[in-house]
Formats: sequence, structure tokens, C-alpha cells
Amino acid sequence: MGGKLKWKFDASTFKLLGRGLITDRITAIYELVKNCYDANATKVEVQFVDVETISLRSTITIRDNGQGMALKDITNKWLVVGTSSKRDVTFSAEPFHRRYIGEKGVGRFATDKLGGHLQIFTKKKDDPQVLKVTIDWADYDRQAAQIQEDEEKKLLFTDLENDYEYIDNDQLFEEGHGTQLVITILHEAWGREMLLRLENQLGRILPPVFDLKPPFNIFLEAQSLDLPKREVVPEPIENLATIHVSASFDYDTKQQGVVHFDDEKQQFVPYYIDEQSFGPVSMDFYFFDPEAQKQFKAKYKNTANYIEGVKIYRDGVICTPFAEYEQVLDKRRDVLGIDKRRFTEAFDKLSTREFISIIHITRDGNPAILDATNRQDFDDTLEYRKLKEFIIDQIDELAKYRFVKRQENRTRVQNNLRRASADVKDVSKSLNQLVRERPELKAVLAPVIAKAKDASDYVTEGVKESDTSEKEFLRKEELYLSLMSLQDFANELAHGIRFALAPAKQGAEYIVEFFPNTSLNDKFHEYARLIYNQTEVISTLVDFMLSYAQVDIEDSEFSVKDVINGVLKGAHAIIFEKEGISVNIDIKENIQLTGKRKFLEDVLSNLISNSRKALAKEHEKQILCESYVDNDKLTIIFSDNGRGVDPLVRDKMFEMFKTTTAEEGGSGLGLFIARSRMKALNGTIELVNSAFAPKGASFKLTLPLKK
Amino acid sequence: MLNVISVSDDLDAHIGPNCLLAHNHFLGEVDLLDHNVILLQGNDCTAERVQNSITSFGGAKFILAAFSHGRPDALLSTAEANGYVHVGNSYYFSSSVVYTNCCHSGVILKEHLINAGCIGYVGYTDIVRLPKNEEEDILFIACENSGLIHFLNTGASLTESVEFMKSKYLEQRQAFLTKKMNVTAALLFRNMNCLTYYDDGVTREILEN
Amino acid sequence: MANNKPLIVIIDDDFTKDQPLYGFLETAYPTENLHIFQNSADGEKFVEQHLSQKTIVLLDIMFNGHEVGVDVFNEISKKSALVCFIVMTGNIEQVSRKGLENLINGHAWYIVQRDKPAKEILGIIKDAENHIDLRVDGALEQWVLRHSEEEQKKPFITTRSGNSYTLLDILQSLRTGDNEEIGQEIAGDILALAVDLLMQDKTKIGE
Repeated sequence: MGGKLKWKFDASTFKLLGRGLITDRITAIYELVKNCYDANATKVEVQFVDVETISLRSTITIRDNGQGMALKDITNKWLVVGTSSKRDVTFSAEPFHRRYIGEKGVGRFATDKLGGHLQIFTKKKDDPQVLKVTIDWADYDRQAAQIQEDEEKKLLFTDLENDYEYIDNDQLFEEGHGTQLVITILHEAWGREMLLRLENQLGRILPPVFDLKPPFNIFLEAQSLDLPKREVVPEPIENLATIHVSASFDYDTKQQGVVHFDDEKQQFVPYYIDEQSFGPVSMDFYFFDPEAQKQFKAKYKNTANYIEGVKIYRDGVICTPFAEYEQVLDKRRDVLGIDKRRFTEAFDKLSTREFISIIHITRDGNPAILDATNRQDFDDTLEYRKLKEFIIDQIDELAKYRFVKRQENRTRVQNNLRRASADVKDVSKSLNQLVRERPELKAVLAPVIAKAKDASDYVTEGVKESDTSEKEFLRKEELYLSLMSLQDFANELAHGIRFALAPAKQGAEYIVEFFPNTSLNDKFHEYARLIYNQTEVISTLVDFMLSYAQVDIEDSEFSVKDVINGVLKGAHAIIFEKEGISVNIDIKENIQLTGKRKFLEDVLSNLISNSRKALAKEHEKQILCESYVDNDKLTIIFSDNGRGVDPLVRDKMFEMFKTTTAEEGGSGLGLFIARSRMKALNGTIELVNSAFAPKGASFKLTLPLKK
Repeated sequence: MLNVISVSDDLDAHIGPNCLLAHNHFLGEVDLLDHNVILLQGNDCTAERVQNSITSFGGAKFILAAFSHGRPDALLSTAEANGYVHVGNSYYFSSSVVYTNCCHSGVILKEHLINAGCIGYVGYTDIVRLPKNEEEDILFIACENSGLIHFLNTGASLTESVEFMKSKYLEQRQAFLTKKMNVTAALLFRNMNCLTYYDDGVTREILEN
Repeated sequence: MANNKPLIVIIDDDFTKDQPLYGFLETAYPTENLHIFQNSADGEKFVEQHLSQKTIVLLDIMFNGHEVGVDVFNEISKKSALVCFIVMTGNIEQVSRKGLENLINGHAWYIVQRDKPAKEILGIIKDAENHIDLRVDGALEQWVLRHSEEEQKKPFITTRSGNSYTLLDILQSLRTGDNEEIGQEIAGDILALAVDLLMQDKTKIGE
């Protein structure tokens, strides 16, 4: 027993599609205008009539001069849900060859979002008459609301009927072809502000400084709201920005251009990296300093135009931020989550209030960047995440410019203040001289002299204040930095201590449980030693923590040569002799550094300790310490000819408890501590090819020369 | 005189021999020599044949004994994949006893047969499992047929015969346990737990009139 | 297998025989039953090759900062649902939500922080051992494995709805839920029998 079953669509399906997928009316109009673009229109006119209060006269009209539709287009495409016939062909006809931007075939339901009654007037070039189709969404609603007794006779979506007829109207379409949508029985009234917002959004369909041929011009009109017919234009960002940086993809060399700030030249220079996993992109960045921001705000007062971070255009048409009227502006502008990064201010990172970046992608070149079904974001794919990271990197690079500018500014302001101070003192001096030469002017000039003196005092105070707050600012910045690294630091240490404690606890537990028992004496001995070792490890960690708790560690100036000699020849000399280790020191330049001397000493001690263990079984033990200047860095290479580093641990050797010196009583912390110290000195440590190859190991320490 | 239809799907790839065995066991235990017995085997196991046989009884009461596969809503055979007794032809079975050892039919088919007016039904609500072993499968079959055999040989009510059948099951289960064939015992016990029946006060005497 | 104790397989990149926990394990299980693997792939392979033995796995979650342990758990569980997992972590907050979901839904036996007292961890392992011993599906698995390979391949039962099963089919079903879960059903049948026997019990109480 069986048979076949068929799918049915309930009459209220259309509500799902229309009101569900398109969440606001600006998006609705936006989608409809996109459809005009796909229909090869060069002109779209959007007209609002009597929309400020809802009445029978309230109308929204969207008319384009695109290719229009025939009856079969209506029956086979427009009225067929879920199709995008545009999917079979990706480009519109010549000479337009536009990449289709409307998709998923639901644009047609956008009209339901706007009003209950839709009339479609459409005409193809050679058709003698205009085809008129009436779609009464409101009637659908009514019909769907009727509850049928019998399940079998329930009203289906596909049962709904729509009227069509042919009419004569030569005047409707100037060029003899096009489509006009007339929407009435509006759901909501439109105020002036909404219209301005719409204008703003429509202006962003196409990127600024992007020449479309053939053109696509959008006109907006709402006479009753005092908005005469005007062309919607994208905002000209170029003029208002403080600086504009662009980076594009070089198709010849297959290299991706990136934003790169040259610290030496103090400007942006061209720079290329390999093509990224998300495909080629081209980018324009516009940075606005406070003055430019002010000008921008003034120019676009009373509009919805803001400086709002990143915008992505696909095939020349915008796809973010999504034409959504977000209540909270911050949410709308920050689709990449840029402002969410921790400690934004402290790290000189740009906020979305300070820049506009236009990112161009294409459907062909960046297929992995897909619109999410809810159309409010992109699909969270690996490539999209990488793209986000990439864009954020560019913005960080852009931030360097702001940093430099800020520095310049500060310097300039301070210099101005100082000059002002000197100037005022000059004025005082001149006045006093004048009084000396012409004593009769004393009475007249007395108040002026007094004012000059006051001014001088104030300016001096101002200069001092400026210096103080500058120092304060820097201190706070450092505090932020250290706070953040302290958090991570504390986390790592806590984890390390717990890890070190575990076997000690269990070892003690074993002894408590089974002691006395002569047959287990070996185990007792072993675990007792283990407990002792672990407590040593924890001690080391605690000492390490304490060393950072001492806030008073001041930076001081020291000679690198002195430090290296001090550690290698002074403190460890006796041990080296005892263990037969010959030490060679080769320091090219005697550089003075500013920092925490003790930290560098600790690192060297640590390396020596490791080398001693590595050299334990060696006959001709050697340690070599070289130092030289390389670009703007001081480099120290510390090498030994011991047994070298186990390849298995090479990747993780700077992490806690990962080294293999445990047998010789190592705690597994040495290199972890060394790396932490180097970080605190703004330097780095890494393993490099051994100077004594094929044996031994070399560690390269680098320290910045300029602070 | 009794009217009996016995359907045995001996063509089935898996249980063909088993159906034949069950069918033969049943005929061996009950003396039906002077009665109206229609045997449907092989390609005769179709709904049409069954229905024609019933029609040939001219409205008299009858028993249908089924030895084949089953589905919740039908009894199936190789010749009739959609069922030779099913929801659609249940009305043929008013005034009859339907006795099956098929899987599942107790779930849906039983209801339909009762609604159609059948006066007795014995079947199973889930999968019926048999050991693929010539020594044991006859023991399972003996349990399955014991109800019908008791009903026809003693003139007891269908309910009493089902009780008897259950005791046979338990007896056999104990026999398996004694021989430490515990898994087999568990399988047999499970089959028993899936038994379901319907008795409208029918006895052999009533069937013969 | 000389004894009836389960295999204890430790898959943990930081575990060695020197750890006191190993000392504790030695007091409860024969040394030949204890296996340590620092490499997760090796551990996984070993367990998969010894599915016919009762196994308890002590599984570390993090290997070099990656949740490799969850993958090992998923892979082995796919091959047999009868392996018992005790998951160890350094810090339970480190385990991702997705990872925890996998572990719970895959019926991991227990999750424990590795610095808990060794006796407590040992207690959990003994509990797991009891659990394995008393599982009917585990016992049924052992029952299948007691038969020769040839016997395992012979058809064992057939049904009056068109299917036929060998012992191997039943084994596979117990481990992975394939074959219409016939293994689980038979395990259920055995339990039903046991319950019924209990109900029929005629044990004399009192004088």
C-alpha cells in the first residue's frame, strides 16, 4: 500500500519570503534598484508621492529604462518563486555586460515590504503595448486568513490569481522599453529623514571614483517632502581625506599589494606579498584626522553620511555595510568587528570613526566570500576570516601614519608653546625697556606690563602642563601594555604552577598511602625526589613572578659589553674553569642600551646554564658569545658545541616544561623565562643555525637600538 | 466442516524452507482430511488467489493460517510484495480467524481486520527472529504453531489456546536454559513477548457452522 | 590475555612511567595491561587493534595546545562504542564547548582534572572497570568473540521480515550501531530474560 505525495505551499508563504528575508524598507527599495541595474537600465527614477501620511494617494514608483519584460518573462520568471534566471547567465547583455548583483530571486517580494498593492508596467523594445500586471499582496493576506474546514481544500500559494492586461501607453517609457513598479497601500509613512537616509544608501550602491560604462544613474524625488528630483551621487571622499593610500593586486606578478608604512621615510610605500587564500583584492584607504573629521561632519550635516570604516564592493557594487538602518550607528559601521579589539586606544589602533576603506572583490576572483542567507553578513568561511584579519592588518599599518602625525603634532604644539613663551617674555622685555627709556609712559603701560607678565606665567605653566600630561599619557600607555601582558603572563604562570604541582601532590599521596612498605622503597625514594624537584620548579616560578612584581625596576643605561663580560668572565669564571669550558667573547661595538640590565644578565645566565648541561658529555667544551650591530638592532649570538637541540622539541622549546634537560635537574623553564625577559626588553630570542655546526646550538638575541 | 486457507511462502530466499517447514508441521499435527483446505504456495501466494479462495467459501467462516514475511500493515510474499492480506482487502476477512507467524502485522493490520469484522487474530507486533539452525528452528516453529494446533484439536477458545501457546514457549525456553543455550532462550522469549491476539468468542465449533 | 583485567591505555604527551599516578595504577593492574602512548596516533592505533579486549582509555585532551584528544575520542568511538574513556585535562576551562559536546554525546565515562588525588582517579578507573564488566553489550561482544572465526561468519539468525545476521554482524552492530542495531536488540533480549527470571524467582527467604 502506498502512493505518491506532493508538496504544497500555504498561501501565507509569500509573507515568509518577503517580510522575512528583507527586514526593512530601505533594503526593499535597494533590492528593487539593484534589479534595475541587472535589467541593463541606465536610468532609475524613484518617486515618492504623498508619503508623509498614509492615504490612498500615497505612492512609491520605481521606473527604469531597462530591457523590460514580456508576458512569458512574467509567467516564467517573475511569478516563479525562488528562481534567479540570472543564475544561468552571470552577465547581462552587451554592451552592458553587467555582473548580476540581485540574486536569490526574492527581490520581487521586496515590494510586499513596502505596500499592499503592486502594479507592474513593463515593455520590451519591440512590443507594441505595455503589459500591466496587478499583484494584490493585501488580497493574498485576506485570502490566506480564511480558515478552511477541510485540510484538503486549504488555499495554496499557487492558487492565488493575479490580473494582467495590455494597455496602450507610448508616453510611459521614454526610450520605448523599461519597467515601472507602482506601489500603493503603503504599510508605513515616509518622513524626510527616511528619504535622506534612502538617498544616502542608494548613493552607496556604487563606489566613489568608479566609472561605470554604460552609466547607472539613480534619481530620487519626493516633492511633498521638499525634495525636488535630483540625481543620487556617491560622496566624493577623496577631497576630504587627510591621506589616501591604495593597494591593488598585480595580475602580472600575481602579487597582492598591501599598505606598508616605511618608518625611515615616514611615508607609505608600495609593497607586495603573495596572493592570499581569499583571492585578489584591491583597496583604497582614506584616513581622516580630527580636522578632516570635523569638515566631513559639517559637509554632511543632516544626512546619514558618516565616516564609517570598512566597505566592501563586489563587482563594483556595494555589499557591506548592509543597507540596514541600524539603530546603533556603531554596530552598523563596524561589520568587521574592528572596534571590538581589546585596548584599542592604548595600542594606537584606528577606530572606525577615523577612516573609510573601500575594498573591491569580484565573484570570480573571490568565490569563497559569499553572502550569508540572512544577507546581513558574509558566510563565516575560513577565507572570510582571513580576509578580515588581512584588512585589519592594513588598518593597523594605516594607524602608523596617525601615530607619526600625532608625534609631529605633539612636537609642533610643544614647540609652539615654547616659542609663545619666549615671545611673551620678549614682549615683557621690550615693554620694560620702553618704560626705562620713557618713564612717563610707566603709568599707562603698567597694566599692559602686568598682563604680559601674567601671560608669560600662564604660558610657562601651559608648557609645563603639556610636558607633564605627555609623560602621563606615555606612562598610562605602558601601564596598559604591561597590564595586558601581565594578564597573559599570570595565566601562563598559574597554569605552569598547577602543572608542576600535580605530580608532586600525587607523589606525596603515594607515600602517605603506602608507607611503610620495604618492597616499595625504590618507589618512595623516586617520588620523594620528584616532589623535591617539583618544589624547586615552583620556587623558580615564584622567583620569576616576584622579579616582575618589583615595580621599582628602573630602566638604566648600561654598556652591553660590560654586561656580557660581567656575566661570562666575572660571575661564571670559576665554574667555567672547573668544568673545563673555554669561553670566547667577540664584541664588535660597545653599544649603550637603556633598559633593565638585570634582565639581560638573567637571559645570559640562563643560556649558560643550558649550555653547561648540553656540554656535560663533551670533551672540548666551548662557548662563544658574539655581538654586533645589524641595521637598527643589536644582535648577540650565544653558541655552544654541546649536544644541540632535540629536533622534536625545537618548535616548542620556549614554552614551559618542554625542554629535555630534566634529567640533569632542569626545570623546563629556562628558555621560557629567557623569552619573557627578552620581551620585557622589547627584544627577541630565537634558535638559529649552530655556529659549531653540525654540533651544538646557537641562540640569537636582538635588542632595539632606538627606544 | 472447516474452511482453511494456508499460505506458505516457500519461495522466499531467506525463510522459504522455514515457511515450508512450519506449514508442514501444522498440517502434520492437525487432521484436516475431510475439510475444505486450500493450500497456497509459491506463486499462488497472491491477494487475488486468497480473495478468490475466500469467495469460494460462499460467505462461510474460515481460518487463514499465514507462514510468510510481514509488515505492520500487511502480510507479504515473494509473489505479492505489497501484501496478500492488507489493509485494503481486510473486508474479506469478516467472520474469519487470521493466524500468523509473520513479523509486525499486529501493529496495524490487526486493527483493520478487527474493524472489518474478523472474529479472531493471532500475530506479532515486532520482528520475529529464528535461529538459522535446523535443530532449533523446528522448536521455534513448534511454539508458534502450538496455539492453532491446540485451538483446532481441543475445541478450546482462542484465548485459552493462546495461553497454552505461551506456556509452550516458556517450557521451551526452560529447555534451552537447561542446555545452557541462553542466547537462544532470550530470542525465543522475545518472540513470545511480541505476541498479540484478538478473540471474539470464537471456537472451532463456531467456525464449522 | 592471561587475566580478566581490562587494558588501561594512557594517551598523553606528558605522561611517563615515572609519574606517581602510574605507581598507583601498578598497585591495581598487572603491568602488562598498562600501556602508555605519548603520540596520539600511536595510541589510537593500538586501541583499534585491540578492540576485542576490554579497554579503558585515559585520554589527554590537549596535545601541544590543540584539542587533538577529542579527535582521538571521536575516531575510536566510531569504531567501537564499547571502549570506555576517562578524559584528563590540565584545566577544564581550556576545553572548547564543541569538544565537550562531542565527549558528552559520545558517552565519555568521566572527565577529570589531572591534579586530582591519584586515589580519586584510580577510583574512577575502577568504577569504569565495573561498568565494563556489567555491560550486557560488552558481555555479548565477548560472547561473540569466544566463537571461532568460521563460526562467526555463519548466519546465526534470520527474521521474518527479510534479514539475516551472522555473529560478525552482531559484533559490528554492538560496536557501531550498524545492521539495524541487532546487537543492541539481542543485548536487550538477554536483559529482558534476566529480569523475567528474577521475577520468577523462588528463592526462599527467612527460616
